[in-house]
Amino acid sequence: MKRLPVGLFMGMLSACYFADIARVALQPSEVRANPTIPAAAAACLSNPNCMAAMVTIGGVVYWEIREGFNIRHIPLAPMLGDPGNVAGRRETHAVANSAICDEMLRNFQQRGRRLKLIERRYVGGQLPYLCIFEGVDAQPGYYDDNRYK
Amino acid sequence: MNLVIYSLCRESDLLRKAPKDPNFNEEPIKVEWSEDVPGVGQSVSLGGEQRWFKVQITRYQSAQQDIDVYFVHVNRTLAVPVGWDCDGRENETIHVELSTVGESILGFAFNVLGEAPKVGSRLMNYQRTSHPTLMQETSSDWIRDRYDECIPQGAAPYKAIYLTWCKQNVLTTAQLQA
Repeated sequence: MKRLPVGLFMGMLSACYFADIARVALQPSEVRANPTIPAAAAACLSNPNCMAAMVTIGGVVYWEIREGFNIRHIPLAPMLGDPGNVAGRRETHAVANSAICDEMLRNFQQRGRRLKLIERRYVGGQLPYLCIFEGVDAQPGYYDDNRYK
Repeated sequence: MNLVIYSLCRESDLLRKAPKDPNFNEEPIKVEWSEDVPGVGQSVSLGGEQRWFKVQITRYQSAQQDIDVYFVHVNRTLAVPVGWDCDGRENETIHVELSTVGESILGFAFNVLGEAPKVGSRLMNYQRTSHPTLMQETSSDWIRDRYDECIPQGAAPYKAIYLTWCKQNVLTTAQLQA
């Protein structure tokens, strides 16, 4: 009978173990229908010498990537949520020029929305600026959905 | 060493009348390291073929670092426009996120509240979504480690420019368990 290398065998055991942890750790309300696998984890999954699994450490879910003695953790949270767009806290909008951030703010204030313009971040490209608003009335996608109303 | 920030402001009238002006397809912000001090009347490229004139230059100085920061307004002609869309920002600050001197910048933002950077906070990456203007944030491998405050000598378009020095911080087991 062909024997598996000890490392690979241990790796398979660990993978099962971590998969179980992941099943326990991920509550249904946290999981999107089709979560994206980060590039590092995807590359690892296609590499027989690398192991990728979801683990929870301190209540936070991570992709754990093990390659030899090198262990990395990539938080899952950015994929499951978006810190830039959180109802009641923060809205982020991409715009063509920085003056639009001020127009958006005036628009929001006229509607009685309790939001502050915090930052105009330059990111380049077709919509080079981000307008970042914070406040209790933050609602992701609000401006675009209500632009013509 | 000098850090030069070029800012392409739009004339307010133009902004109202021609929001799709093709001249503004160029990058409205450019940041570069330079041994040379910028001068009024010199021209510069902002990524396209057009040359832009340096029409207003403000020097910001830091007490900690041997770096001068120059904020340079550029225009299509040598004249300073009467009304710009970037006027009236005197209470705002600029945050330039950097790794080391001479390297490309990691990030650039206008802080509308006039605040200093938050040391220890993580830089974010921004990705387009299927929504036309909604962007998704994800964590980057960089955190804000410290900053130098650069102050103008007199009247200036922005209250201060913060050079925010960042360091790479990939999460490890040791850090998570600490």
